[in-house]
Amino acid sequence: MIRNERPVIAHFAPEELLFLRYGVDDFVNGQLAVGAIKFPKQSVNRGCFSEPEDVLYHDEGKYNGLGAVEFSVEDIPPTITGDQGSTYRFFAHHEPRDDNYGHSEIWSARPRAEEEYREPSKSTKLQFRMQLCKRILTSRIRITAVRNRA
Amino acid sequence: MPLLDATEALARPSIGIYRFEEHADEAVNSAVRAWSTTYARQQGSMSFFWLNRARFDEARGRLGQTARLSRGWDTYGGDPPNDLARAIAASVLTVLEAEALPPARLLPSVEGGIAITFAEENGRAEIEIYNSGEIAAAAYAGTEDATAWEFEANEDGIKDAINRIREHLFS
Repeated sequence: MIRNERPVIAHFAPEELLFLRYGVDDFVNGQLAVGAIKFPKQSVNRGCFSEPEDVLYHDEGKYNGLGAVEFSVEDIPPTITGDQGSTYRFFAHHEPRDDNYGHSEIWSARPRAEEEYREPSKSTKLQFRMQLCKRILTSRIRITAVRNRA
Repeated sequence: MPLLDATEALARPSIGIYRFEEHADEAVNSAVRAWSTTYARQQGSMSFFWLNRARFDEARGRLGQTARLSRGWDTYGGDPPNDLARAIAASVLTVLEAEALPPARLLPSVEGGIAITFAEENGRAEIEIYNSGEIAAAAYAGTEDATAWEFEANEDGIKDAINRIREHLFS
């Protein structure tokens, strides 16, 4: 997990897995609840540099009993057009930390680089999170949680 | 004169062709059956009522528990739901109960607020109440893309959102 001055790897293959920490209550009727995903900058670990259990690592064991679920980069909805007509694209962004080289985040941007970025509206963010959660089913749990996050 | 010709009765085949005649079967047509059916229906509707009641009780219990959360409760440094979000969520639950649309789950949201999830066989919906007092909903049915919208946190706004959610959940 230690970075050891390794570089940022910007490219994510579509099939690359991302790992996310979750608690027992975060799955509702077989699907990850929208309330378990935040946006922007939801933290995940990228699969090419980490294992599922790495999202549960904490010096003081604070994440013991939580679970790890996977989804792939291609599960991230590439674009969402909100109810106000603005389109956003969404992507995984490698954001390594000294103690966690695989740390990444889900970011958004306007489709064209020259467009001014404004954070998506609440409804656009909710729409994005709901689209993503459609793909995160119990079948994608890698480590089963036995307690809640709170 | 014998009431029963035993010889003839014994001579009948043990199997035969039986024809079902509607309204001719006492087991279906009797007063006891009518009472039994009515009672069963009452029990069914009572179960539905109590099932809904239990789901709202659970949601309200979970809502109360969110008052104990502190910053970072979600393990990602998120804010806990505040009093404003909880008060609006309580109002939403009141309207939902009046409209007989029980949630599948009420959870604190990592966005800072309260998330209310609805799940049916073919559809799914979400009402999210934020610490800012804003409120948004999203829903989809089957494989369609989710749609999302923001609305006012008053009774009319909540009722409109419920109607839109119903269209997706039960389409």
